[in-house]
Amino acid sequence: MPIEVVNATYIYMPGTPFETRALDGVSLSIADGEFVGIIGHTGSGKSTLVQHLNALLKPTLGSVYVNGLNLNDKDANLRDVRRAVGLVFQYPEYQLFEETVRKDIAFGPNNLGLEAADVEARVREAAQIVGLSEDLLDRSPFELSGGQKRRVAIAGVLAMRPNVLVLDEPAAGLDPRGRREMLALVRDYHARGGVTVIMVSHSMDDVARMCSRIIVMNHGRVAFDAPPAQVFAHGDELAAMGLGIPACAQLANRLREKGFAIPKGVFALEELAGAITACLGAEGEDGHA
Amino acid sequence: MLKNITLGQYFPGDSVVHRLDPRTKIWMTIGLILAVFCVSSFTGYAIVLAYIVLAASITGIGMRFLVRGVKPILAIVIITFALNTFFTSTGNTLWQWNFIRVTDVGLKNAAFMAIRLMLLVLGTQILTLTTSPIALTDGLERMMRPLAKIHFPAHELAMLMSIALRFVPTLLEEADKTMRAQMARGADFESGNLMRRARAMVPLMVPLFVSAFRRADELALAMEARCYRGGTGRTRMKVLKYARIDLMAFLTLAALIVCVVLVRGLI
Repeated sequence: MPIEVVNATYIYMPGTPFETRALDGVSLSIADGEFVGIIGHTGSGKSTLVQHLNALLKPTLGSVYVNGLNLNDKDANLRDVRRAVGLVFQYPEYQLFEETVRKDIAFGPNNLGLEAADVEARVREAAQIVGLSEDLLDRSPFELSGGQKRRVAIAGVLAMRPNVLVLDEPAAGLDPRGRREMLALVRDYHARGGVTVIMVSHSMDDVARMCSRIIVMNHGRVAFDAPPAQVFAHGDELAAMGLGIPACAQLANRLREKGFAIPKGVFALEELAGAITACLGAEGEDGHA
Repeated sequence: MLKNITLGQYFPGDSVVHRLDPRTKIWMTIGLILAVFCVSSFTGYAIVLAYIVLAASITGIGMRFLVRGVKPILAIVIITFALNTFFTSTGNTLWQWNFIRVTDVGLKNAAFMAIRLMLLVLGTQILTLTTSPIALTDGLERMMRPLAKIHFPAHELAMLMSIALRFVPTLLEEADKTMRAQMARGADFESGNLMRRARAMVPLMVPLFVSAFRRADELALAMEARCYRGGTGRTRMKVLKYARIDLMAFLTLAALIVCVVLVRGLI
């Protein structure tokens, strides 16, 4: 289920003095099975962009194609698109409304018009993916902890078995442990195979560790769209956009500036340690010679 | 979806009208309403409209935005027009079908009422567009202060209003967001009969109520943490004071009312 955004521009409240250009000529394509991180400062247009991927918003100019289908088409079946592209909003726990966790997760599948047995199977499967135990299914979602509520909300989207899963800041507002668990959950879900995952974040560290491709948004435009290593080479430009780069990439860039031979594209902790050791070793030999 | 409501929205700016004392603007709005009701001819309406256009141009907001605010009440205007057209039986009959008659007097009355409604909305909008909700309630509280002598809870009422106004955009935004989140899960708010639609609102209303209570709770706590205990003994950072521009504004209003009354006397 490839996604193609062609020259999309989105204007909030056009024609009023509150008019803002949230997206400004964004073009990108996302292939099946990718794990893409979208990163950007607050107000850079990343949340607006992801809402275009399942036609919750339609571009003022330009178009969005999901699996070849133009979402601007009058007779495009948006329900199918919304099933195929599952969108988990920021702080999704605030959308819970049912009496029990089970019913809440079942909301999506029921809207698809599935048989009761099929719905039940999907609810169990989704609950298992997000790590909710069976006994929680009959509790009220409002009794659960913040992290558990969020898992319920994510399960509600997973139960629709999307081909593309889009998560807007899935780890926002969680404590460090909840954060780690949530990101591990997203990573494991992608590792199961067969799905594209798009994760919006403003933490460069998270995106760097998990995604194979990073799209950097700035003022409604795509500033960079490349694998992490290439994006991190632009440390200064990213800093100017108010984005940091992972500590290791920063250290590597600094060392390189000082004339150390750290190869480009090194930003994982172990790799960097190896590169520094190699560097020091080489210098040590020079000293002896 | 829900964000295109311009009626009653504050429009930040730094015009003379924005800088007027909120009480001045409230009194002037009342004066303008009275003037509109005094008018008995289309010439009078032209004068009031000219006054509103002038005021709008001074605010820097522009008529286009003001006219947009009339849209929500367009249905009421049309109904009023229709009722006045079809249920006036005096005057010369222009068109008749069974018991329905359209007379020249009826048409004139209908146009008159429709224009009156639209002028009222156009004029009163200037108040809410140029006055922040805080300033508005401050002004109201100050105006109601004399009533405190008869134990009228002026401060409480003003606080209630400012909190309510403060949360309108927040709740709208939240409703919009929740709606989209449920639509992403396949919810359908737009089709089906009345019962179906009412039931479709549950996934929207429950989260909205939950969050409204949560916000109320947090707000109460925050107010208490800052030792809020009602209006007694409370002083203000910004004390409202009438200035020269307020006097000038009142003079323009007086001029308008004189014009309207004169026109009424002449025609």
